[in-house]
Amino acid sequence: MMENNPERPVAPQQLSVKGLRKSFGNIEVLCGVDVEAAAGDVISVIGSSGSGKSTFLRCLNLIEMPNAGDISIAGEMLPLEYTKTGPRISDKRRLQQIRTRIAMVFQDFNLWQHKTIRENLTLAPVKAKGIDIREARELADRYLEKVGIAEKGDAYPAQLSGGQQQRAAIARALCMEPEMLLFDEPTSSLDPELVGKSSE
Amino acid sequence: MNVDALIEGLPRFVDGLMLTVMYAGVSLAIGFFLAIPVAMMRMSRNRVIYWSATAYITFFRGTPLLAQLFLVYYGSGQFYQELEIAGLWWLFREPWFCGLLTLTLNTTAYTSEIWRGGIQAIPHPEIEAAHASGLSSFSAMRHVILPRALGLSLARLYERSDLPDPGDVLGVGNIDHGHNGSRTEYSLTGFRVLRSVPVGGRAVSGARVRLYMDRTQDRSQTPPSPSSKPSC
Repeated sequence: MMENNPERPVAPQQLSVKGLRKSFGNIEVLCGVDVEAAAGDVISVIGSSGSGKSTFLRCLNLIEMPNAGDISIAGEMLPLEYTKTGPRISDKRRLQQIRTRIAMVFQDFNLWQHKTIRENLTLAPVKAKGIDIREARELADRYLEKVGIAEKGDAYPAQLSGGQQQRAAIARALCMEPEMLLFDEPTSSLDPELVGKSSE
Repeated sequence: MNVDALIEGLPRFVDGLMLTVMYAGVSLAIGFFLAIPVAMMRMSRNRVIYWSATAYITFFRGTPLLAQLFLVYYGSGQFYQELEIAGLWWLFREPWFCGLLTLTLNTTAYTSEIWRGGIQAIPHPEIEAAHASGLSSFSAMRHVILPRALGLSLARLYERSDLPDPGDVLGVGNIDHGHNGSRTEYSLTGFRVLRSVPVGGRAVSGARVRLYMDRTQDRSQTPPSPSSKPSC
């Protein structure tokens, strides 16, 4: 189910996954996945529904705990250890720090419903990365414009259409200015014209 | 109905209202925050933490407030030597402290369940999104989980503010002072609920004045001296 970009120049690996395994009960979803990617690579994972695409992505930032395997981001191993009782995070602080460098756009957006779109975009940059709030707001407005919903900054997620929410979620990820972006079906709610625009 | 007695008693109703509002306000405010860690404990995977929170909540929600007040106020009197050694007797001998303590413990138990309901009603992916973006557990709690839970349970928290019956505290205070302040010798003879008067209704949410009067005490025509009022 994994498809990798073939010819890749040898460069410092941005992402390196070795022997990633994940099972839910008796069902083994990921059976030893190896992926390597350099900076600038775009990798698409294609597979039928239920084949573990989302699970794979969720393992990359340890939202889902894998049962085996090593993951390293920009040469830094994720603080994950496997004990007799199961996998556990060995260093929470470091994981949080690494997570600020990997942004994820979820399949169903998962915008925080109690916050306006602008607050959704600024929360993590301010609280997790420590960016100044004014700077974060400017950043937010810039990315909102980029995804074409500049006028929706003060709206709440529930006031937006599905497509607009998805674009807000993409903007939220971009606001983190991450080294790596994980998209879980990022264009499921977008019409084809917007897909092209958002991909840019 | 004796209208004169009602008019005569009006200042006491007003006093009672103020006291009720104060007891309700303070206990609800403390309980609101205290309930958060209790709710967390109730959701803990650690069996010991889970069961201690569950026991506490079940007890305070499962028994009448008046019984709890008796237990704390008169019960602590039984242990006054121990409390004295612990240096806590000066607090436990005060009716206002026992009243406030019991009300707070009571309202915390109820409010923690409201918090828990709110937290568990948050769509899990939203919490995941908070963690995925690198927020610390504290930041996720402070900026995503608690405000979201608050929004989801606001209606129930508002309802809650109508529930505590600080009037019960006055009740206990009255019985006590009806017997010259001796804490262990009391009886329930003649003690009855005279009336439950919701004053101002929702406007002063939670401010229900309930005056418990000892009839015999009222007829003895000895106006209560200032010191015989429950101090607060």
